[in-house]
Amino acid sequence: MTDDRNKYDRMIKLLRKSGPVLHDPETLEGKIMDEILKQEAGKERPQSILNYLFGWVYIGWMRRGLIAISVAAILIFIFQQSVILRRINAIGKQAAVSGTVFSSEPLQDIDQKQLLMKLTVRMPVKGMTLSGKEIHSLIRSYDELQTKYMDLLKVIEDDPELKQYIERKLTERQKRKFNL
Amino acid sequence: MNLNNLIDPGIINECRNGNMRNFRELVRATSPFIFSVAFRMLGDEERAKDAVQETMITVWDKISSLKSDSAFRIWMYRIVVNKCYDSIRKSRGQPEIKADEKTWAVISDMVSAGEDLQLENNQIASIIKGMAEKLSPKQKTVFILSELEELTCEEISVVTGMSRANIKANLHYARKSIGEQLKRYI
Repeated sequence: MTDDRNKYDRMIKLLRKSGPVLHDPETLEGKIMDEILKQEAGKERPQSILNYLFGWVYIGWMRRGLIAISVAAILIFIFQQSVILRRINAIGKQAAVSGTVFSSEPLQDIDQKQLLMKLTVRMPVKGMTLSGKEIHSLIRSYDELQTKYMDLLKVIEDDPELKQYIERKLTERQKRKFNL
Repeated sequence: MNLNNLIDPGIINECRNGNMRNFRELVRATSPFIFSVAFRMLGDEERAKDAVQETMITVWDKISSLKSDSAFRIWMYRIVVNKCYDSIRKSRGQPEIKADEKTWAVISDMVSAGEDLQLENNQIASIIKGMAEKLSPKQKTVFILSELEELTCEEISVVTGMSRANIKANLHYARKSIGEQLKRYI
Protein backbone atom coordinates (compact mmCIF):
# COMPACT_ATOMS: atom_id res chain seq x y z
CA MET A 1 0.00 0.00 0.00
CA THR A 2 2.78 2.41 1.02
CA ASP A 3 4.76 1.40 -2.04
CA ASP A 4 1.79 2.22 -4.27
CA ARG A 5 1.36 5.55 -2.52
CA ASN A 6 5.06 6.25 -3.06
CA LYS A 7 4.77 5.52 -6.77
CA TYR A 8 1.84 7.89 -7.00
CA ASP A 9 3.65 10.64 -5.07
CA ARG A 10 6.82 10.23 -7.12
CA MET A 11 4.85 10.47 -10.33
CA ILE A 12 3.02 13.59 -9.17
CA LYS A 13 6.26 15.24 -8.02
CA LEU A 14 7.86 14.49 -11.36
CA LEU A 15 4.94 15.96 -13.26
CA ARG A 16 4.77 19.05 -11.05
CA LYS A 17 8.47 19.71 -11.51
CA SER A 18 8.45 19.16 -15.27
CA GLY A 19 5.99 21.70 -16.56
CA PRO A 20 5.17 21.58 -20.29
CA VAL A 21 7.34 23.99 -22.26
CA LEU A 22 5.92 26.36 -24.85
CA HIS A 23 8.28 26.36 -27.82
CA ASP A 24 8.41 29.46 -30.00
CA PRO A 25 6.23 31.70 -27.80
CA GLU A 26 6.90 34.73 -30.06
CA THR A 27 5.01 33.17 -32.99
CA LEU A 28 2.03 32.39 -30.77
CA GLU A 29 2.15 35.91 -29.30
CA GLY A 30 2.19 37.38 -32.83
CA LYS A 31 -0.78 35.21 -33.88
CA ILE A 32 -2.79 36.23 -30.81
CA MET A 33 -2.10 39.94 -31.31
CA ASP A 34 -2.90 39.74 -35.05
CA GLU A 35 -6.22 38.06 -34.29
CA ILE A 36 -7.09 40.67 -31.66
CA LEU A 37 -6.12 43.56 -33.97
CA LYS A 38 -8.31 42.05 -36.70
CA GLN A 39 -11.24 41.87 -34.28
CA GLU A 40 -10.67 45.42 -33.11
CA ALA A 41 -10.58 46.70 -36.70
CA GLY A 42 -13.97 45.04 -37.27
CA LYS A 43 -15.37 46.71 -34.15
CA GLU A 44 -14.02 50.15 -35.05
CA ARG A 45 -15.91 50.47 -38.36
CA PRO A 46 -19.34 51.35 -36.91
CA GLN A 47 -17.61 53.55 -34.34
CA SER A 48 -15.92 55.54 -37.12
CA ILE A 49 -19.29 56.15 -38.88
CA LEU A 50 -20.70 57.55 -35.64
CA ASN A 51 -17.58 59.66 -35.22
CA TYR A 52 -17.98 60.97 -38.76
CA LEU A 53 -21.61 61.96 -38.11
CA PHE A 54 -21.35 63.25 -34.55
CA GLY A 55 -17.63 63.96 -34.18
CA TRP A 56 -18.31 67.69 -34.07
CA VAL A 57 -19.99 67.34 -30.65
CA TYR A 58 -17.26 67.33 -28.04
CA ILE A 59 -19.38 66.79 -24.93
CA GLY A 60 -19.82 63.07 -24.38
CA TRP A 61 -23.36 63.01 -22.97
CA MET A 62 -24.54 65.43 -25.65
CA ARG A 63 -23.09 63.23 -28.40
CA ARG A 64 -24.73 60.13 -26.93
CA GLY A 65 -28.01 62.04 -26.62
CA LEU A 66 -27.87 63.14 -30.26
CA ILE A 67 -27.17 59.58 -31.38
CA ALA A 68 -30.11 58.32 -29.31
CA ILE A 69 -32.44 61.02 -30.67
CA SER A 70 -31.45 60.30 -34.30
CA VAL A 71 -31.98 56.58 -33.82
CA ALA A 72 -35.39 57.26 -32.23
CA ALA A 73 -36.36 59.62 -35.08
CA ILE A 74 -35.40 57.03 -37.70
CA LEU A 75 -37.39 54.36 -35.88
CA ILE A 76 -40.48 56.61 -35.59
CA PHE A 77 -40.23 57.48 -39.30
CA ILE A 78 -40.03 53.81 -40.29
CA PHE A 79 -42.97 52.96 -37.99
CA GLN A 80 -45.09 55.82 -39.33
CA GLN A 81 -44.35 54.89 -42.93
CA SER A 82 -45.27 51.28 -42.35
CA VAL A 83 -48.56 52.29 -40.63
CA ILE A 84 -49.50 54.73 -43.45
CA LEU A 85 -48.71 52.16 -46.13
CA ARG A 86 -50.81 49.56 -44.35
CA ARG A 87 -53.75 52.00 -44.13
CA ILE A 88 -53.47 52.94 -47.82
CA ASN A 89 -53.46 49.29 -48.78
CA ALA A 90 -56.54 48.67 -46.60
CA ILE A 91 -58.65 51.51 -48.14
CA GLY A 92 -59.70 49.42 -51.14
CA LYS A 93 -61.01 46.72 -48.84
CA GLN A 94 -63.05 49.11 -46.71
CA ALA A 95 -65.99 49.68 -49.13
CA ALA A 96 -69.12 48.52 -47.35
CA VAL A 97 -72.56 49.05 -48.87
CA SER A 98 -75.28 48.53 -46.33
CA GLY A 99 -78.77 49.88 -46.70
CA THR A 100 -77.71 52.83 -48.84
CA VAL A 101 -80.35 54.03 -51.30
CA PHE A 102 -79.61 56.18 -54.31
CA SER A 103 -81.74 59.24 -54.29
CA SER A 104 -82.94 60.85 -57.45
CA GLU A 105 -81.04 63.98 -56.50
CA PRO A 106 -77.74 64.60 -58.37
CA LEU A 107 -74.63 63.30 -56.67
CA GLN A 108 -73.45 66.46 -55.08
CA ASP A 109 -72.99 65.06 -51.67
CA ILE A 110 -69.40 64.05 -51.05
CA ASP A 111 -70.50 60.83 -49.23
CA GLN A 112 -72.38 59.64 -52.28
CA LYS A 113 -69.39 60.36 -54.49
CA GLN A 114 -67.23 58.38 -52.13
CA LEU A 115 -69.72 55.53 -52.23
CA LEU A 116 -69.68 55.51 -56.02
CA MET A 117 -65.91 55.49 -55.94
CA LYS A 118 -65.90 52.54 -53.56
CA LEU A 119 -68.40 50.67 -55.69
CA THR A 120 -66.25 51.21 -58.75
CA VAL A 121 -63.25 49.81 -56.90
CA ARG A 122 -65.30 46.86 -55.61
CA MET A 123 -66.51 45.87 -59.04
CA PRO A 124 -63.37 45.55 -61.12
CA VAL A 125 -63.71 44.44 -64.71
CA LYS A 126 -61.30 41.64 -65.54
CA GLY A 127 -58.09 42.97 -67.07
CA MET A 128 -59.21 46.60 -66.68
CA THR A 129 -57.95 49.17 -64.22
CA LEU A 130 -59.49 52.55 -63.45
CA SER A 131 -57.42 55.59 -62.65
CA GLY A 132 -58.59 58.37 -60.31
CA LYS A 133 -59.07 60.69 -63.29
CA GLU A 134 -61.38 58.18 -65.03
CA ILE A 135 -63.44 57.74 -61.85
CA HIS A 136 -63.84 61.51 -61.54
CA SER A 137 -64.99 61.83 -65.16
CA LEU A 138 -67.42 58.92 -64.56
CA ILE A 139 -68.88 60.72 -61.53
CA ARG A 140 -69.13 63.99 -63.49
CA SER A 141 -70.99 62.35 -66.41
CA TYR A 142 -73.28 60.55 -63.96
CA ASP A 143 -74.08 63.92 -62.33
CA GLU A 144 -74.82 65.50 -65.72
CA LEU A 145 -77.05 62.58 -66.68
CA GLN A 146 -78.94 62.91 -63.40
CA THR A 147 -79.45 66.68 -63.93
CA LYS A 148 -80.68 66.17 -67.48
CA TYR A 149 -83.07 63.43 -66.33
CA MET A 150 -84.46 65.73 -63.64
CA ASP A 151 -84.93 68.55 -66.19
CA LEU A 152 -86.74 66.19 -68.52
CA LEU A 153 -89.07 65.04 -65.74
CA LYS A 154 -89.82 68.68 -64.89
CA VAL A 155 -90.65 69.50 -68.54
CA ILE A 156 -92.99 66.51 -68.72
CA GLU A 157 -94.71 67.49 -65.45
CA ASP A 158 -95.21 71.06 -66.67
CA ASP A 159 -96.82 70.03 -69.99
CA PRO A 160 -99.94 67.79 -69.46
CA GLU A 161 -100.31 67.11 -73.21
CA LEU A 162 -96.77 65.94 -73.50
CA LYS A 163 -97.30 63.84 -70.41
CA GLN A 164 -100.39 62.24 -71.90
CA TYR A 165 -98.60 61.67 -75.17
CA ILE A 166 -95.67 59.97 -73.46
CA GLU A 167 -97.97 57.84 -71.31
CA ARG A 168 -99.89 56.76 -74.38
CA LYS A 169 -96.70 55.91 -76.25
CA LEU A 170 -95.40 53.94 -73.27
CA THR A 171 -98.68 51.96 -73.02
CA GLU A 172 -98.58 51.16 -76.74
CA ARG A 173 -95.01 50.00 -76.45
CA GLN A 174 -95.92 47.86 -73.52
CA LYS A 175 -98.82 46.30 -75.48
CA ARG A 176 -96.52 45.64 -78.47
CA LYS A 177 -94.09 43.91 -76.19
CA PHE A 178 -96.88 41.75 -74.77
CA ASN A 179 -98.10 40.82 -78.28
CA LEU A 180 -94.66 39.65 -79.24
CA MET B 1 4.52 28.33 -12.10
CA ASN B 2 2.42 30.82 -10.14
CA LEU B 3 0.54 33.32 -12.21
CA ASN B 4 0.45 35.96 -9.49
CA ASN B 5 4.26 36.20 -9.51
CA LEU B 6 4.31 36.52 -13.29
CA ILE B 7 2.22 39.65 -13.76
CA ASP B 8 2.31 43.08 -12.31
CA PRO B 9 -1.23 44.03 -11.11
CA GLY B 10 -0.69 47.42 -12.81
CA ILE B 11 -0.55 45.66 -16.20
CA ILE B 12 -3.85 43.91 -15.50
CA ASN B 13 -5.45 47.23 -14.56
CA GLU B 14 -4.12 48.89 -17.72
CA CYS B 15 -5.52 46.01 -19.79
CA ARG B 16 -8.90 46.46 -18.10
CA ASN B 17 -8.83 50.03 -19.43
CA GLY B 18 -8.21 48.74 -22.97
CA ASN B 19 -4.46 49.38 -23.20
CA MET B 20 -3.28 47.10 -26.00
CA ARG B 21 0.45 47.60 -25.47
CA ASN B 22 0.07 46.30 -21.91
CA PHE B 23 -2.03 43.45 -23.19
CA ARG B 24 0.91 42.33 -25.34
CA GLU B 25 2.94 42.24 -22.11
CA LEU B 26 0.22 40.19 -20.49
CA VAL B 27 0.18 37.74 -23.41
CA ARG B 28 3.96 37.37 -23.23
CA ALA B 29 3.89 36.75 -19.48
CA THR B 30 0.89 34.43 -19.27
CA SER B 31 1.06 32.36 -22.48
CA PRO B 32 3.56 29.78 -21.10
CA PHE B 33 1.39 29.34 -18.01
CA ILE B 34 -1.82 28.92 -20.03
CA PHE B 35 -0.04 26.55 -22.39
CA SER B 36 1.06 24.44 -19.44
CA VAL B 37 -2.50 24.06 -18.13
CA ALA B 38 -3.93 23.41 -21.61
CA PHE B 39 -1.21 20.91 -22.51
CA ARG B 40 -1.73 18.94 -19.30
CA MET B 41 -5.44 18.77 -20.08
CA LEU B 42 -5.24 18.08 -23.81
CA GLY B 43 -1.92 16.25 -24.19
CA ASP B 44 -1.28 17.76 -27.64
CA GLU B 45 0.92 20.77 -28.44
CA GLU B 46 -1.10 22.11 -31.37
CA ARG B 47 -4.43 21.82 -29.61
CA ALA B 48 -2.93 23.41 -26.50
CA LYS B 49 -1.63 26.33 -28.60
CA ASP B 50 -5.09 26.79 -30.12
CA ALA B 51 -6.56 26.81 -26.62
CA VAL B 52 -4.02 29.46 -25.58
CA GLN B 53 -4.96 31.62 -28.58
CA GLU B 54 -8.69 31.33 -27.89
CA THR B 55 -8.15 31.97 -24.18
CA MET B 56 -6.18 35.16 -24.82
CA ILE B 57 -8.82 36.46 -27.26
CA THR B 58 -11.54 35.84 -24.67
CA VAL B 59 -9.39 37.50 -22.00
CA TRP B 60 -9.06 40.61 -24.18
CA ASP B 61 -12.81 40.67 -24.89
CA LYS B 62 -13.86 40.24 -21.26
CA ILE B 63 -11.06 41.76 -19.20
CA SER B 64 -12.97 45.04 -18.77
CA SER B 65 -15.64 43.11 -16.82
CA LEU B 66 -13.05 41.69 -14.40
CA LYS B 67 -13.88 43.10 -10.95
CA SER B 68 -10.37 43.17 -9.44
CA ASP B 69 -6.84 42.22 -10.44
CA SER B 70 -6.65 39.76 -7.52
CA ALA B 71 -9.34 37.61 -9.16
CA PHE B 72 -7.32 37.42 -12.39
CA ARG B 73 -5.56 34.10 -11.70
CA ILE B 74 -8.72 32.06 -11.03
CA TRP B 75 -10.58 33.87 -13.81
CA MET B 76 -7.82 32.89 -16.25
CA TYR B 77 -7.97 29.25 -15.07
CA ARG B 78 -11.71 29.28 -15.62
CA ILE B 79 -11.36 30.50 -19.21
CA VAL B 80 -8.60 28.08 -20.15
CA VAL B 81 -10.44 25.11 -18.61
CA ASN B 82 -13.57 26.01 -20.56
CA LYS B 83 -11.55 26.30 -23.79
CA CYS B 84 -10.06 22.87 -23.11
CA TYR B 85 -13.54 21.43 -22.54
CA ASP B 86 -14.58 22.91 -25.92
CA SER B 87 -11.56 21.30 -27.57
CA ILE B 88 -12.31 17.92 -25.94
CA ARG B 89 -15.96 18.19 -27.08
CA LYS B 90 -14.85 18.95 -30.66
CA SER B 91 -12.43 16.02 -30.77
CA ARG B 92 -15.00 13.56 -29.35
CA GLY B 93 -15.45 10.69 -31.77
CA GLN B 94 -11.88 10.83 -33.04
CA PRO B 95 -9.89 7.65 -32.30
CA GLU B 96 -7.74 7.98 -29.17
CA ILE B 97 -4.34 6.35 -28.94
CA LYS B 98 -4.15 4.37 -25.71
CA ALA B 99 -0.98 3.88 -23.70
CA ASP B 100 0.38 0.38 -24.45
CA GLU B 101 2.82 -1.86 -22.52
CA LYS B 102 5.78 -0.19 -24.23
CA THR B 103 4.66 3.28 -23.16
CA TRP B 104 4.16 2.08 -19.60
CA ALA B 105 7.66 0.58 -19.61
CA VAL B 106 9.06 4.01 -20.58
CA ILE B 107 6.96 5.70 -17.89
CA SER B 108 8.21 3.17 -15.32
CA ASP B 109 11.81 3.96 -16.25
CA MET B 110 11.16 7.68 -15.86
CA VAL B 111 9.66 7.23 -12.40
CA SER B 112 12.56 5.04 -11.36
CA ALA B 113 15.08 7.55 -12.70
CA GLY B 114 14.21 9.89 -9.84
CA GLU B 115 13.15 13.44 -9.28
CA ASP B 116 16.08 15.07 -11.07
CA LEU B 117 14.74 14.03 -14.44
CA GLN B 118 13.29 16.82 -16.61
CA LEU B 119 10.50 15.49 -18.80
CA GLU B 120 9.90 16.48 -22.41
CA ASN B 121 6.42 17.59 -23.52
CA ASN B 122 5.68 14.28 -25.25
CA GLN B 123 6.75 12.35 -22.14
CA ILE B 124 4.47 14.46 -19.95
CA ALA B 125 1.62 13.85 -22.39
CA SER B 126 2.25 10.07 -22.34
CA ILE B 127 2.31 9.91 -18.54
CA ILE B 128 -0.88 11.94 -18.09
CA LYS B 129 -2.60 10.03 -20.89
CA GLY B 130 -1.63 6.70 -19.29
CA MET B 131 -2.62 7.76 -15.78
CA ALA B 132 -5.89 9.43 -16.71
CA GLU B 133 -6.92 6.85 -19.30
CA LYS B 134 -9.92 5.71 -17.30
CA LEU B 135 -10.98 9.15 -16.08
CA SER B 136 -13.84 11.27 -17.39
CA PRO B 137 -12.98 14.84 -18.55
CA LYS B 138 -14.33 16.19 -15.24
CA GLN B 139 -12.29 13.79 -13.13
CA LYS B 140 -9.20 14.52 -15.21
CA THR B 141 -9.75 18.27 -14.79
CA VAL B 142 -10.14 17.98 -11.02
CA PHE B 143 -7.04 15.78 -10.84
CA ILE B 144 -4.91 18.21 -12.90
CA LEU B 145 -6.11 21.31 -11.05
CA SER B 146 -5.70 19.75 -7.62
CA GLU B 147 -2.59 17.58 -7.96
CA LEU B 148 -0.56 19.33 -10.68
CA GLU B 149 -1.71 22.96 -10.51
CA GLU B 150 -2.10 22.74 -6.73
CA LEU B 151 -5.34 24.68 -6.50
CA THR B 152 -7.46 24.48 -3.34
CA CYS B 153 -10.89 22.88 -3.29
CA GLU B 154 -12.57 26.34 -3.16
CA GLU B 155 -10.55 27.55 -6.15
CA ILE B 156 -11.41 24.44 -8.17
CA SER B 157 -15.06 25.02 -7.29
CA VAL B 158 -14.87 28.56 -8.73
CA VAL B 159 -13.00 27.37 -11.84
CA THR B 160 -15.20 24.39 -12.68
CA GLY B 161 -18.50 25.42 -11.11
CA MET B 162 -18.67 22.08 -9.29
CA SER B 163 -19.65 21.74 -5.63
CA ARG B 164 -16.95 20.96 -3.07
CA ALA B 165 -18.45 17.55 -2.32
CA ASN B 166 -18.47 16.74 -6.03
CA ILE B 167 -14.84 17.82 -6.38
CA LYS B 168 -13.79 15.67 -3.43
CA ALA B 169 -15.64 12.65 -4.81
CA ASN B 170 -14.12 13.13 -8.29
CA LEU B 171 -10.64 13.58 -6.85
CA HIS B 172 -10.99 10.47 -4.69
CA TYR B 173 -12.06 8.42 -7.71
CA ALA B 174 -9.24 9.87 -9.86
CA ARG B 175 -6.57 9.04 -7.24
CA LYS B 176 -7.94 5.54 -6.85
CA SER B 177 -8.07 4.93 -10.59
CA ILE B 178 -4.56 6.32 -11.18
CA GLY B 179 -3.25 4.26 -8.22
CA GLU B 180 -4.63 1.12 -9.83
CA GLN B 181 -3.05 1.99 -13.18
CA LEU B 182 0.32 2.54 -11.53
CA LYS B 183 0.00 -0.69 -9.53
CA ARG B 184 -0.77 -2.63 -12.69
CA TYR B 185 1.95 -1.26 -14.96
CA ILE B 186 4.79 0.03 -12.79
